Amino acid sequence: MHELTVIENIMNISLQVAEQNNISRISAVNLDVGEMQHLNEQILQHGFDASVKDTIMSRADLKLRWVPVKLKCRDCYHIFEPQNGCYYCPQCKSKDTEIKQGMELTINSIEGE
Amino acid sequence: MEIKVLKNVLDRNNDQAEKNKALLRKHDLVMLNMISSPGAGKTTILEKTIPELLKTKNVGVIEGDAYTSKDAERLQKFDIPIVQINTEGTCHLDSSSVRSAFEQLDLAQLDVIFVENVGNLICPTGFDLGENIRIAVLSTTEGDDKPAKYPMLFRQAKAVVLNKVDLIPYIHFDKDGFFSDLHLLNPSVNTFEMSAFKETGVDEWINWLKAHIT
Repeated sequence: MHELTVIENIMNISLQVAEQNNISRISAVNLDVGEMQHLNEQILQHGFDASVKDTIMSRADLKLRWVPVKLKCRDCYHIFEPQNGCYYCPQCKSKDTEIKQGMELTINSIEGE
Repeated sequence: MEIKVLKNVLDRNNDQAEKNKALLRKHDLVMLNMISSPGAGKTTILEKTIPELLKTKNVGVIEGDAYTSKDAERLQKFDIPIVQINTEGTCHLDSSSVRSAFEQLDLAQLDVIFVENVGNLICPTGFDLGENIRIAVLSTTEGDDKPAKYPMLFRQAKAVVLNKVDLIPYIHFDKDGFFSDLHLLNPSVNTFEMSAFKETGVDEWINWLKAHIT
């Protein structure tokens, strides 16, 4: 249920950005969510709808873009999606890999007038 | 009108975590963040670990619980500084609550702080507390499929303690499969097989800890 903490932070950041840009009504928040974050979309959407009531984002849509996990091999620089839970490089079999994407929890943009 | 934001939702937590890290560095302190499901045995592991470390180190504990102070009470017999954080139902500790706990500890007098996070395999993993070492604890009764189901925790952990190994003869737990999955996900992870209750496998764990908190 860390979705609620995430929503609280989404709201704080969005409202701050709206104020700085003279936005009086937020219509959408575009959020990139890495698949590693284990966020539940239904809880996020319900929690968001309940939390934004009586604010300038009360009619805003929370638009999620799920970002798949991608790894980069530190030996041969191959970029790949892990298959069957294996984080080794499929090209050179190196175990030395780093997560390049899939950890995101980023507000990409907000939309409003 | 669309306005680019490109801001991490957890920035506030991450910023405070960096400040916590700096504070730990200043006091030459090692902080361990212990994450597991409820009932995996974190408190029992601490009960077996703390007296050994106390022979040479000053130990403090930050106890995270959704409600009650039952875990902290179990550790009071060691007469060490313990700060209880009740999250009032929230499923994870964050870096600000740990910063507040620091204020109740004499950091200059400590060598190591154990943070016992709220029991949960998902939520605490997104919240950096500023710890030096993240430990995942899994009990055998939870099943051998957990690394595949919770990759973020098991990928990020520097060490994984498999607890309650004494129960394996009575349950379906494929230990080889578990370690194989874990190493595919996290090749450099340190692993420990333990029954904290029966006090087996505790020595290897303590030796590893001692090597990391000198």
